[in-house]
Amino acid sequence: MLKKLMKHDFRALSRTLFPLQIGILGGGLVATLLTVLTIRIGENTARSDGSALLRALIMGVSATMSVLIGIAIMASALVTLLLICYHFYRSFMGDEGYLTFTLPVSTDKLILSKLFTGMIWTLINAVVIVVTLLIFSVFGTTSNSIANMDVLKAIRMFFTDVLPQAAQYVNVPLMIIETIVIGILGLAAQMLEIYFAIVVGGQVAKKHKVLAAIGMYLLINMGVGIITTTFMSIVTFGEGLANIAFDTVQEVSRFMTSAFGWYGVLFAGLAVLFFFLIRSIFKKNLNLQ
Amino acid sequence: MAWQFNSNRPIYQQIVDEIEMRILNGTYEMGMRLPSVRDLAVMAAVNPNTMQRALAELEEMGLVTTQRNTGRTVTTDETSVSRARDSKADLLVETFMMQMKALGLSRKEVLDRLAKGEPKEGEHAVNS
Amino acid sequence: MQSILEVRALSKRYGSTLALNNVDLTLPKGKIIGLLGPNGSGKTTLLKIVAGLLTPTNGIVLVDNQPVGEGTKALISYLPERTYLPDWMTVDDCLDYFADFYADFDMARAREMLTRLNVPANKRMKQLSKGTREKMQLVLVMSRRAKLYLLDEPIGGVDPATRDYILDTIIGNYDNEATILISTHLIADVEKVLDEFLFLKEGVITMHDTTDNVRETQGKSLDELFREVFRC
Repeated sequence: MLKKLMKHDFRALSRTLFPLQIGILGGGLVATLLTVLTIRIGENTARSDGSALLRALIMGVSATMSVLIGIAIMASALVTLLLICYHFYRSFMGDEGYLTFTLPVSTDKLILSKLFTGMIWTLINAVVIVVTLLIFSVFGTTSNSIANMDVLKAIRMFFTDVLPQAAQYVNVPLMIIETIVIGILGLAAQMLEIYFAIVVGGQVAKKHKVLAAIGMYLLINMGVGIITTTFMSIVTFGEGLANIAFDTVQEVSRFMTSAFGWYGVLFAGLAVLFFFLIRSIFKKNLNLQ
Repeated sequence: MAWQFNSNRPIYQQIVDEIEMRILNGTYEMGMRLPSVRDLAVMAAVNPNTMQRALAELEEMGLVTTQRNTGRTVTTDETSVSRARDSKADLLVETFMMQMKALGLSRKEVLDRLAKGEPKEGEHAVNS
Repeated sequence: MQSILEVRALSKRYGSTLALNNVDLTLPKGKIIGLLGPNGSGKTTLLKIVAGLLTPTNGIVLVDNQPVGEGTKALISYLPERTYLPDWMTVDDCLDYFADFYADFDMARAREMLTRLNVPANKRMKQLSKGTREKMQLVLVMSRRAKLYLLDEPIGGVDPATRDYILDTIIGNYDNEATILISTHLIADVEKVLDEFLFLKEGVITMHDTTDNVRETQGKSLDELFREVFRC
C-alpha cells in the first residue's frame, strides 16, 4: 500500500513541481545566455573604445542578472518546499482529509508516503539547482570560449588533487557515505518537523491554520535549536572535542569521524520523535472538521 | 415512475396489493416472468428487502411461483388467481358496504342504487 | 442475527457541548437503516466516528467485530457531506485512486454509471458542476462492494430529479449482505427504502425500530412520527 500511496502523492506533487523544475532549468539557461551576451557586448564596446559609461552599465546589468538568478533559484527552493507542505496540508487537514483518512491504510504509511515523496522532490530540486548553477558558472561566466575553462579546471582539480589529498587523512568513501546518510537524516528530520508544525497548527487553530502552522514551526524550531545545542555540547564535551579549533586537517578529520556522526544520531532521533508525535495525533486526537 | 404508497400501512402490504392487482387485471399475464427483485425495487423505488418480503407473501398466496432457473413467474394456476380475485372482490364489497352503512343507507337502498347503474356525470363519487 | 456495527456507551464532546451522549447501538447485517434527526442532533458526528475521522471521547465502536482502524476502513464505504475529491484530478484519476486502494471497487460498474451520467473520463473535478461532483462521489462510493455504507445526507439540498437518481443508485447497487446507514432529515423521501430507523435527538438515540412496525402498530408513516417526536 505504501507504494500506491507514494504513486498518488508523487503524481499530485509532480503536477506542480515538475513544471517548476523545468522553469528553473529554462530560466537558468536563458539567464546564462543573456549574461554571455552582455559580457561579449561589454568587451566589444571596450575594444572599440566606446563609452566607459555604457560598459559600466552593461557590466551592471550582467551583475544584476546573476543576482536575480540567485534569488530566483533560492525562491524556487522555497516554492518547492511550500508546495510540498501545501500538499501535506491539503491531504490531511483540508476536505481531502475525508478521502485520505478513510483509506484502508495504516497511519504510519500515510505519513511515510508524504515524507518520502517530499524528500525525493526536495532532492530533485537540489539536483536541478546544482545543475543550473553549474551550467551558469561553466557557460555564463566567460567570453573567451563557450565554456569557462577555469571552472572546468577547478572541478577537475577537485577530483584529481583535493580528493586524493584528503584520502591521506580520512577514508573518503566512508566520509561521502557518512555525509549522504547524515544529509538524508537531516532532511527527514527537517521535513517531519515542518509536517509536525502543520499538524499542530491545524489542531490548535480553527481558522488561521496556515498562520498557526508557521507560528508553531518557529516555536518548534526554537525547541529543536535548544535540543541540538544541548545534545552537541554534551557529546563534544564527552568526546573531548570541546576545544577543537579546526586548525589542522587532523582536527577536521577527527571532527568528521566523531562529532559529525553524532549529528546523524541527533537527526535520526528528531525524525523518529516527530514521526511518532504526528502519528499519535492522527491516531488519538484526529478531529477532522 | 415510482409507485404511490399511503402512509398508514406497511409498504410491503401495499406492494402485495399493487402486484396482486396487476396480476388480476392482466397487466402481469399468467406465466409471465417477473422482473428481478432489484429491478422491481428500483421501479417501485422501495427497499429490495421490502420487495423481497412482498414477493414472499405473494408466493404464499399462490399468485407467484419461483423456479430455480427462470426466477419468479406469475402463476399459471387459474384456481389460485380466481380465488385471489374472489377474496379481493369480497373485501372490496365488504369495505364498500361498510362505507354505505356509515352513510346511513340500508342494504336494499344500496342494491337499488347499484341496479340504477353508474353515477351520472356531475354527481361526484365519494372517495375514501 | 449477526451485527455489522456495535456501539457501546459512545460519547463525543466538543468543548462544552456533548454531540453524542452515551449512545448504545447495534446494527444488523443486510438492512437499509435511516439515521434520522434534525440538524445538529449528532448524525454527522456518529458517522464520522464510525468512519474513523473523529476520535470518540468515550466508548467503544466495533465494525464487524473489529475496532475502528485500517481493517474497518476496508469494509466501510463512506460518503461525507462535502466534496472531497481533489480539484485537479480527472474522472479517470479518481477511478484509478479508488481501484488502487479498495479491493472491493467494481470498476466496470462505476464506468457504466458514469457513462449513464454523461461524465467524460478526462474531465477534471474543477470542471464539473457541484451537483455532478456529488453524483460522481456517490457513484464511487456505491461502486464498492462494502459491508457497511455510511451515507451522510446524500439527498440534502438536491433537486427532486437528482434525489430520484440518488435513491435509484442506492437501491440499484444494494446487495442484501450489506448494511446501508443513511443520515437525513428528509424523512418522506427516504422512508420507502428504509428497513429500520434510528431517531437521534440531541446526541441520544430515542427510538430504534422497523419502518413496518411503526405503520403496523401506530398506523402512521415515519414522516408523521418524526414530526410528532421532533415537534418544536
